[in-house]
Amino acid sequence: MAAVATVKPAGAPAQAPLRAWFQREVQPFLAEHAGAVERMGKRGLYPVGVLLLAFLAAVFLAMVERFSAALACAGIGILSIAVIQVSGPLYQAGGAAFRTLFKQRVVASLVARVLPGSTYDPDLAIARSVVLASGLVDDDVSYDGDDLVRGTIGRTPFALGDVRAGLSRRGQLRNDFHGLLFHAEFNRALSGRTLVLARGQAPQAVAVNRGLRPVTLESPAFEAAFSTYASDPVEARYVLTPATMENLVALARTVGRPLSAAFDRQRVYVALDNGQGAFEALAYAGEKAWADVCGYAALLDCARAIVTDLELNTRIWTKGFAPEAEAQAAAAVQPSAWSRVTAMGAWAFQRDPTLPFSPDDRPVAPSRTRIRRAGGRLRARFADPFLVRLLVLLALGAFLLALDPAWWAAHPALEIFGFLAGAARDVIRPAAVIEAALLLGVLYRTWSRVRWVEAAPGMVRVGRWGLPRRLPRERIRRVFAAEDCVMALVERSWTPVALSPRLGSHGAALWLAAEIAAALSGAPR
Amino acid sequence: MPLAVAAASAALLLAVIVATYNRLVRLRNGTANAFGALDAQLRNRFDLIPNIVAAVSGYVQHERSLLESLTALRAQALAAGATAEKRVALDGQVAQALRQLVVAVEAYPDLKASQQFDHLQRTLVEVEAQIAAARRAYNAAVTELNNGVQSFPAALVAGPLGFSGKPVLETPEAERGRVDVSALLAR
Repeated sequence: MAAVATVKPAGAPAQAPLRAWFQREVQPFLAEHAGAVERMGKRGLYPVGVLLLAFLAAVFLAMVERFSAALACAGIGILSIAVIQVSGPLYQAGGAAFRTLFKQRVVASLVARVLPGSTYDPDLAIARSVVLASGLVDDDVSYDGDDLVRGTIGRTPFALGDVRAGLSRRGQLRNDFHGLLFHAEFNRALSGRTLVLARGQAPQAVAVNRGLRPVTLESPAFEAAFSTYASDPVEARYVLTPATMENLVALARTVGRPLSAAFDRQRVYVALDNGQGAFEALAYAGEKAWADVCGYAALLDCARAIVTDLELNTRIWTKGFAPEAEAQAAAAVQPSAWSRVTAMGAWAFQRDPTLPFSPDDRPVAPSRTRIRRAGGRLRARFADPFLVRLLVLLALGAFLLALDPAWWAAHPALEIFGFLAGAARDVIRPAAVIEAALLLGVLYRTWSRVRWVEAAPGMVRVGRWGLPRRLPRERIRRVFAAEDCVMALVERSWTPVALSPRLGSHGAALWLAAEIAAALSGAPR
Repeated sequence: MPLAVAAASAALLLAVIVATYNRLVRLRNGTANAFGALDAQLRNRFDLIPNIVAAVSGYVQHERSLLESLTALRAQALAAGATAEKRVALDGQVAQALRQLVVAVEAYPDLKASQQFDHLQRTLVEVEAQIAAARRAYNAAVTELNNGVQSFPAALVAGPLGFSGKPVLETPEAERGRVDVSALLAR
């Protein structure tokens, strides 16, 4: 994870106090947790790596007509898929949990140091309406955001957030912006719109940018760095004074990333295209982490640099300050994709809109699960479809192979099965590899699947094939619902323990997680 | 064949001349438009002067001559038959007089505290900034016109077609020097 380590605006946060804070608070936190998270991440990537290598090897071997070896590689790939399906959700949920803790502990503290008095919400985002009003992104894009910082610099209220605007709904890549968006009330009354874009860019074809024409300004340095569009060339020069142009050039040079700005009737918007998410969790410690934290601090300090360079605190014009407008603008936020699930005590690790459930599902008892309560204990037994599939697959395979070819010839109505049995015999070894891989995959998933869970005051037991696993209450940090699974975060590990298989709905996971937590704590239900 | 070549060359030349003429017309109109925008902002400032005089005259007993000078400048600028060029020419004198007045007001705390005067002062600052922007826009338009008239091959046809360059608006020599704030405050 590389941050914008080259961002060093003038007046960047003093390094010595920041370094002392890093050594005192962040380094121990990362040293304690980052190693475990990094190992978890690597473990999660191993099967992905094996899958990719197996796929490439299978393709290569097939091209050189080594079909047996290609099928063997394909079999290895099939096994990897099974491992990914079982362990992937656990690693993703663990990573999401660490992300939440990192932002609440490290990033929030950093914001308090760099922008004192500002609030930081990792799970709130700049409202989509504000992003569209800036005119700096296409309006036909999917939008996501988080890491909202709101505060006042001097006398200027502002908001700053991580914004991602991606593919359009029609699947065509129109605009790919991933960076920070800053907006504040502009200190002068404007009647039109002025757009300052990185050199060579054209305005987005959106309604707010209609009627803008290119404007050539006097500063060669500014013209080399930016392209300016405005509804009124005189007003563009009213906004972009020689001093402002000079400051914008210096700011863009310091930031080292594409910088755009928009000035309309009410507000000023500044977009910094970072190319990646800001303030993301670090899974390592040491000097590399220090460099990234410095980058985060510099990104936050960009807010101060923008207010200073655009002289937003200078209020010598008739507009003055408009607290009502600022209060309205500050209220224009929306929950990030993370916020709804964290508010409900769950961590979502997929934001796939095709999933058959959503974070808004209400708790409901899971289907195909037998729930029993006795003396404060809760026991849930889950139906096992994989066992049935395994048995059917085994039976079918045995049946096809066992019958004599003469019997198939005597029953022409079953010609297709006879053909399959004959084909299996003809290429018995390669077909067996694939079938063996499928069987092993199903076996692995069946073996790993949680068959039952029992919760009692002071402990939880999880049953799979083999010995059940016992978790004492003091080891369990939290029981939560992640998509349609119930998991438990345990001490000394960021890899959660699955307490249920996939239940088919987030509401079922919520219900069961609440029941298990209540039984664990001994609370009456 | 030679006749066809000659006719084609003549047609091409005519097309180039027409295109050049049209471009120069656009540039000249753009300059006129920018000058009109500047004139509008100057009028805004002249319109402020009666309000400023009314707000200030009850307080500043020793600046009567300054107020009278401002009023006279305004009358000259808005007199019947006064052209936009005349208003631009008076711009420097008006700006200097207003600056002197703003400095003089520093000696009158009651006036400085007046909400009405505060609003006028802010409006004046805004108008001054817009005048500066309009001047820059006008100079940019004039520069573009001058480039069009003086560059080759348009320079060959600009004169015969009645186009010529214009001077950019420059700051008067008296205003280019450093401002002696002490001298202003000592008046």
